[in-house]
Amino acid sequence: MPEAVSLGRRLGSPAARARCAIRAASLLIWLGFAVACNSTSDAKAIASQLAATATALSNYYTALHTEVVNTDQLNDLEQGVTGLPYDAQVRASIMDTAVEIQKRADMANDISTLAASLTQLTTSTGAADASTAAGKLASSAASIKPLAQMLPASVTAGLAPAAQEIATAIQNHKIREAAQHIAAFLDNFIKLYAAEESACKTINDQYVGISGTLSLWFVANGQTDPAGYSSALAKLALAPYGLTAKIDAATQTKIATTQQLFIGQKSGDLIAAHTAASKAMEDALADIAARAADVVEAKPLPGGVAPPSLTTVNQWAATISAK
Amino acid sequence: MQDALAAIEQNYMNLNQQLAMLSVNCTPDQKTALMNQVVAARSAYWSCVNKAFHDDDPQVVSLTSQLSAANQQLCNAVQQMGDIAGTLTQITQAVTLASSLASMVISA
Repeated sequence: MPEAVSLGRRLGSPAARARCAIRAASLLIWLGFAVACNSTSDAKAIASQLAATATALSNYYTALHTEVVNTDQLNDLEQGVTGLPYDAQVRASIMDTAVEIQKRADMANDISTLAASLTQLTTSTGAADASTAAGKLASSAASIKPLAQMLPASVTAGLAPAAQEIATAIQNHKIREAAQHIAAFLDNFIKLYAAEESACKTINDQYVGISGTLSLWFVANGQTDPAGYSSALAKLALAPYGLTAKIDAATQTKIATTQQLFIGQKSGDLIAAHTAASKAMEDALADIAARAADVVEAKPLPGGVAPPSLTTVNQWAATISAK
Repeated sequence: MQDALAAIEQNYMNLNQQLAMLSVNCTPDQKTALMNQVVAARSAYWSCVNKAFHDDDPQVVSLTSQLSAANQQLCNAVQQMGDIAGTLTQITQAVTLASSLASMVISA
């Protein structure tokens, strides 16, 4: 019996043969990706690192978005308590910025989805899913407009085509090309991120500034709860000994005088936390971009070198998002 | 941080943070004038956050330098709090610089 006929009989129905063909093609894609990465474990490690980095990036931008949206509400609050007018034009600028930050969070999510799909290439829908994810990334990247900085137009303009090239290359099972375009995308993105760091810093600074200013107003006007604040502070001293605070009004007032110092210190901490998170994010992006470039050049990945920690980024984002 | 945006941010944040303290020593008219300046400073700031500057434009460089100096003078004046009318004049000059600089922003 000819081999082809035997194989066809063993496969059974046309649908089964189609599924087999898809699996075979997907396997070839995965093998191609693995070859580009020198080994399957390298491929999975890179894709996982990219997914984790992009998730942290999404958390970072989501927290920043929260700060901008909260700033809008804080301006309303400021208008209410101090009478400082909050005009529609400024509100529109703030909401435009919020939209632009949200686009970056969405794009980071799309990078994460693409990276996760690269680890699933051997499934029957793996290649199609990865191609779709890359196409979605191209779409979200196309909507990005740079924040306050000067960038060569080629950087933002290069994001969407690079993502589209990733989709096309995966569709055509040209995995080394896909890896090249992923590296090109990351290279462009890291330039965008670095150029926008100052804009992101100013967004955080003004959020901390306006929330701190309003907090001081509440303290100065006796509009905070001295019992809650003094109890929380006293707990620091008493909790190790299993004791519970019961503070009289006079002592509450004394302790409350430290609230202004606390606000000043906390404002400094929030600014420092964002600076650290921003730097950690930049380091993580630089690392994954370098590893992606190594894949393209078929260089061996550094064994035993852990990628930069994303804990600082995720912790800062959780702090802001929890507010 | 980008110098032009940083100077505009500092102008707005300083005024916003000092608003309550400055208001204490103001007449009602002065308080209205002060609030108008804070609103203008905030407007200048937010009109730049989502935009870009030509950092190499000599006019941007010059205005940024003038605004940074005005911000510093304003900090000193606010700390000394000698003459509220004089301080308001300095505030107006600094915010005018911030608005002029903000008007040089280009669409992204």
